[in-house]
Amino acid sequence: MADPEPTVFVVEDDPSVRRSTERLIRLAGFMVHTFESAQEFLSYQRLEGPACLVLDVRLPGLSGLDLQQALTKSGKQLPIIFVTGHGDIPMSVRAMKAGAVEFLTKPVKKAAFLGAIKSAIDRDRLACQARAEAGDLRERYNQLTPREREVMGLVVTGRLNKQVAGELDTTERTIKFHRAHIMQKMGVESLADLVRMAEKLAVFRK
Amino acid sequence: MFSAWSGGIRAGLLATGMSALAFDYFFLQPTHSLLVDFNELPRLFLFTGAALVIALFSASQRSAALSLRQARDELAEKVKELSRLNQALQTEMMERKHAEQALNKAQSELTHMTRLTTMGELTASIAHEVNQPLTAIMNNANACLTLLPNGYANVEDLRAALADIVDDADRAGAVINRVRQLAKKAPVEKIKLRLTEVVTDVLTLARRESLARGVSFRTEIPADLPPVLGDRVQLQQVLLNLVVNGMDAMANVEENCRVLTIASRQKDEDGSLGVILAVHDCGVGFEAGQISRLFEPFYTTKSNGLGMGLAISRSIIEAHGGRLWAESNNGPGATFCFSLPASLTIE
Repeated sequence: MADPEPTVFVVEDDPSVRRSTERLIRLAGFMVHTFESAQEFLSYQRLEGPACLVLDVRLPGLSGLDLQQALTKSGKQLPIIFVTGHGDIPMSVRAMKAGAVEFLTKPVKKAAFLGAIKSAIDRDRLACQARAEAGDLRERYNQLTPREREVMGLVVTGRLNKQVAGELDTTERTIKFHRAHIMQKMGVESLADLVRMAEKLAVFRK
Repeated sequence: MFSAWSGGIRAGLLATGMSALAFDYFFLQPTHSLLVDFNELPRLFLFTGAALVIALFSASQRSAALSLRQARDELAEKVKELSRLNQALQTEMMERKHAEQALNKAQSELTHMTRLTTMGELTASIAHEVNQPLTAIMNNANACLTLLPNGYANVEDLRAALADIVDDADRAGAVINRVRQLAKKAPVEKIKLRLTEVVTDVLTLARRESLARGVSFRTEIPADLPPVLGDRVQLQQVLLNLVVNGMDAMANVEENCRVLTIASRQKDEDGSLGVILAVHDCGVGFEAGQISRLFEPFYTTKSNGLGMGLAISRSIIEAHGGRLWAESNNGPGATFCFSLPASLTIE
């Protein structure tokens, strides 16, 4: 399956630095889009696919850290690599605590920079996959009937079919029946897999 | 004659008398007697008269010589007095000259120190100004290294990257130069200047700081503003001081409203052409009574301020033949203005 191309977004207000950064990243084999300000980036509709953001901390208007916060709040997170021309130690701590991948100082060394981009892209690829899986899971779970959901919630705790039947005041046979449907709808073949899914969906019932 | 000459008129008269008697005794009939014949009298009178005249001449000669000597002594006294006064004057002039030199030296030390302090405030910005082109150079050079194995396949990319490197190196060099000028203890060098260039230089230096503080600059400088005669570095110093003060004043203003306006216009007062430059902020402004104290040395409203900036700025502008003053705005904030005479000489 073709992987949508990874994209690197760069927000940098100095034209010369912006041009040269674009050049460097493009030649390393990535798609790259540059922006003059955080505002410009926020108004850009980006497509799906693994991506990361290279961000100068100090920007005119909305600052790099503010952008980081805005992205977190809106749920449109993506891995951020901060770059700064100042020796901003306290800022770097804040940025890292808020989940930045890396905090580099200018002039940036090529190896460190491209390395950070690669790991950021990888991180986002995994996140994308996880998101896709979770979406898929949700879809499947929504296909279950309310009764099936009840059964599933009990089955994944390790209770025997008989116990589940007892608790739900029905027959063991009915439970087995439900169980088969659940397995099929959720697309798993073993209880262990079902449990893992349940974990992801956080549907354990005590 | 001799006695008159040496003894004065009285001695002369005495001698005359005595010689008349001797003449009478020895030469007039009858001789060897003090008595005198009647017909000898004219001879006696003639002799006495002659002797008297000689005595008188000698006496006056003497008194003339005396008063000449006296006058000469007085003159010598006067000359001594005069040369003593002259000496005192010389000493006083030397002292005054030393004091002036000491004052000049202190002034220039203070100016230098303020420059460095202002520069210290902007050091982070200056480092950033140099760092940006360096970063671009680093990126471009790495890009070139990546491109080289492809040989001439990407020659346009290579060329573009290298051209950018040259431009950025230039940019960095210009910043260093500006900084060096600011830090130099250069003697005052008045040349014909365009204020718009001074404004550009200062705003470039302050750019990073303005970005960090969220301040935006606006300039309103007419293209036909007459040139002024001034020391470029000193005028940069003054403008930088005003700009930094303006930004400080707006520290607590809402982010989008931090605008610093630098406007300039020609002025024509009583036939003399000049230029006025105003730095307008929308910051905290002044309380009543503050304006009069602003330019005092060591007066500051900032917690870490030296209080010398405005005092020195004013003395620089005044040394240029202009005025520096402050006004409260109609709205929020303040405006600092300075005027300078226009340079009409052909150089």
